[in-house]
Amino acid sequence: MKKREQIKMPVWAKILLGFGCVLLAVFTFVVVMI
Amino acid sequence: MKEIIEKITDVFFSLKNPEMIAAFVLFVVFFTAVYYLMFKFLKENGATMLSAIIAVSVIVLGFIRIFTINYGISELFTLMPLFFVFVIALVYSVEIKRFLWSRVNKISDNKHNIKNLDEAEITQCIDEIIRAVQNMSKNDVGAIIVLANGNMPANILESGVKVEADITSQLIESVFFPKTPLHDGAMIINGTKILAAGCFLPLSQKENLPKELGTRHRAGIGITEMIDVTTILVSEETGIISIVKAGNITRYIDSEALRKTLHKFYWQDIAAK
Repeated sequence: MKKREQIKMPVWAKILLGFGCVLLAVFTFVVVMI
Repeated sequence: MKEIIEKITDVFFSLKNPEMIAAFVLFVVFFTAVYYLMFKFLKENGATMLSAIIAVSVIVLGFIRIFTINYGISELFTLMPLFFVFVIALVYSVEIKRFLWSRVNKISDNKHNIKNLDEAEITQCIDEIIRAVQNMSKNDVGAIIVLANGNMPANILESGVKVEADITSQLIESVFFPKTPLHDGAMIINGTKILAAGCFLPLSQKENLPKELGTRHRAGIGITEMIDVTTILVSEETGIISIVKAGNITRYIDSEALRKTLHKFYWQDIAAK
């Protein structure tokens, strides 16, 4: 009765995605403001 | 190049007054939220590749704008993130509607009854499914049963008839009995309940499937390509039982293999949720 690996997005992947999105948002700001 | 670096540093130096800092923070928060929701939504809809393409496009177009800033290239580049959001909204309009609807209405159609599983109840469910599948196989009755674990898209459930009944071999066999209204569609089992019957499933577009596999088998394979479910198929012509997982079909399944699959479905797939 062992539990299978979660199919849901793991927390570290969410944090990584969030961090990537922040970087992309800062990049967008630079592109818009330049 | 030097000029470009100066311009970029100027952008950050301009963040000295409180208004600019507030604008910067608001901008970053807003775009972070837009990007995050967009990528998460695309991943949930199986379009990981598209999100990668969009991320790369934003970066490449951004650099094109930065490097061509002195050559009067259109300011339209600044609108590109909104352009991607617009394209996704057009392509995935139905999915977005469903996504927003599910966020607003927290009650899920098919997530109940998958917790607090009772061992005796599950053993009975497994026995009932096996009995039904074997009987149908013996009598050459075609059947397609989807074992879902709370992840069935609402549009597929809505395409059939809601059943919400306990699993019994008599009910399963009755649904698939030829010439009855629901026999042609798929039956969705979720946990210890038959959720719906007569559902339409997306067909697999694989070209290398054996010719003897008909539309029912294609539907059984198609749904497992889209979401993480297991499908049990009984061929109408030959009575052969097949199991499909992640788009891979295993044919000539005996009762022991079927029991193993169901056991795995109940004790690993559902228990892990």
